[in-house]
Amino acid sequence: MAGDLARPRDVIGGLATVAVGIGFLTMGTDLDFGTARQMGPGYFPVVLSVFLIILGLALVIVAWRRPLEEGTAGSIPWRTIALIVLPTVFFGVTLRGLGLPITLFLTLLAVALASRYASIKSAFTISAIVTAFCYLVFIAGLNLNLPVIGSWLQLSDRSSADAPTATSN
Amino acid sequence: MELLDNLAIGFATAFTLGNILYCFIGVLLGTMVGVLPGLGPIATIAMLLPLTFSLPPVSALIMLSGIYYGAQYGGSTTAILVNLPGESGSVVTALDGYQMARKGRAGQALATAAMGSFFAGSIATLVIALAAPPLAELALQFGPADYFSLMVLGLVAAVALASGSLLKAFIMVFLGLILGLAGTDVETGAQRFTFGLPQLSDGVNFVALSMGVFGLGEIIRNLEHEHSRDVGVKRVSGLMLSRDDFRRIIAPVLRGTALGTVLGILPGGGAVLSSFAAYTIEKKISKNRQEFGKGAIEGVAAPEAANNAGAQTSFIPMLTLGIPSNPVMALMIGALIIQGITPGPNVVTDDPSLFWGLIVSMWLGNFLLILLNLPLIGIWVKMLTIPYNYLFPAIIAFTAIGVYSVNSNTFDVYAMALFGVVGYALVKLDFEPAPLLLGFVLGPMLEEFLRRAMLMSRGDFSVFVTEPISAVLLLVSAGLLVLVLLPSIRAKREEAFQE
Repeated sequence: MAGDLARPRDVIGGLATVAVGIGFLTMGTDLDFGTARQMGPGYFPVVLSVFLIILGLALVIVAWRRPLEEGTAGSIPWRTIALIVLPTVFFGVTLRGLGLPITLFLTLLAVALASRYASIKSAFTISAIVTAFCYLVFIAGLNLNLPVIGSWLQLSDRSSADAPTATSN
Repeated sequence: MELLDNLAIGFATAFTLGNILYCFIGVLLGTMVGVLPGLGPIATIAMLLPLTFSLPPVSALIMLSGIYYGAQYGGSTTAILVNLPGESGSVVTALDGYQMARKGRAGQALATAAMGSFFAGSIATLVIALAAPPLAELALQFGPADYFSLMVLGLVAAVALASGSLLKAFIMVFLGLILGLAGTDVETGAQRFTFGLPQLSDGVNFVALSMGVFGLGEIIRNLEHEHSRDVGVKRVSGLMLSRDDFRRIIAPVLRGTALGTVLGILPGGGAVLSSFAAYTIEKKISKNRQEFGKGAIEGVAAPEAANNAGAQTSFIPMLTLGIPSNPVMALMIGALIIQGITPGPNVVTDDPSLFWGLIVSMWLGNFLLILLNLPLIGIWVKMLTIPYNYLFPAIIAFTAIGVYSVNSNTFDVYAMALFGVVGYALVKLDFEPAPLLLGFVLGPMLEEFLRRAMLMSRGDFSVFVTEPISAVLLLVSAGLLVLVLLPSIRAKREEAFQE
């Protein structure tokens, strides 16, 4: 089958599905089930979770009988994932504090290094270019509601509610 | 004739300076994004979605749709020149297009793609103009049970046409459905799957989900398999088609257009399905079929016409019924909802300038594309040489800014990061994420119609088969499932995706 099912990848996939299904089922049964005529908030979620669990089990069963998959498909690029996901989280944490230009530049610096062709120099260059571009387009150009100077950097005694944003209220 | 009046409204709307500009930006962006492998219309539209806030609804739609069908044009350029389809709707174009390029006929291939696409796009626009209003009227007859079954058909079709394991596609759909239910239950006010977090009381942010799964997840995956791209482009000269060429492409273009127009309307249909089907059929019936795979011009003409027609007619279910037939349409619905418009049969009559303005601008977009593409080929080719490691930080910047600006909410950024991991996990486990998005959008709708249908039938489930429209739709869904599961079709399907 295109996208052949293979062990252990799809057994893992199936088990993950079952686990997720059980999770949702647990949360769903906390809700009021109701009747078919007057479906409570839990009705559809429970039905869907049950389906999910069944499908997950089916996947495990079907995949179990498939040939063992060889190859390096099992390796997980932790470094790459970390360098994409964590800077994004960083962006969320610091955006209001540091303001867009600084946050974005730092975020992109980290992100750029996720590539195996990156160098410190190329990371700097691309981060600078993109940050400048974003500033021009999103703040100067489109006037989006983004903090420019973050609240942590306020020199005077102002609360974060007063942080200057591109659109002043 | 009413059609002329409507077209007049459309022209008046589409040909304002602003909307022409948005159309231009849309198709330009779309082409660019189509050219660049690793960045597709879904991610781009998702990125620009928050920006469409500040635009009037029709302008937003004009721009976003321009991106979608523009990407079909762009994708064919890379497919032909470097055998790297920038867009999945162009995968089949690469088969013969690239071979033509290797024989020095790149110009002819590109010209064929452009002309076929323009013709198909124009016809598709016409079809939309003619078919949509009666369809919308028909839809007004739909009861909740019928809507429910229609959505079931849509989901089944999406699964059937997804590449890869059916079982896994179903899992994706159900996962999407459940995720879509998260938030406050409209009917009862109960908090579902919110973990007590107030930021989740409105549900999972659609943009965070789509950008996370399709944007970040895709980037992680691309970086995992990163290699420097050796472009090795042949010089493009001679865009003129010989008389023989011209004669050969007429029928394939017509067939491709017809196929694409029909397949695009089906739930689950769109550019990809249409192009695959057109290529397969053309190969079967062509006089020159032994040339296919080695540079048959028909092998470029048919799928290119089909993918464009399919991309445009896939707007029909969205505009007339409010039902997305593919993830791109799901995003369009998202855009409309952001604007406070609930897509449905009423949109055609309640907001004619929106509907007809969009339709006319689609034709305009096709026209602009044919103007743009051929002269700008040199630029597109240069763009292909941008190394990915310069590109992806920009994508991340846009997605992060984009998702934040939807609600000025940093929680959404965290959600997007989480979904990035999820998206990567899905790809790693070989689950196709597109049905997830579809399920996510349809989940709440599905539930609502189920509830209403049950309320009206007093808990009687047989209503889904006693209501005629619903029964037919469910029958078709079942039929489709059976069809796909039959061993012989299974083999053909794998074959089609194998290429």
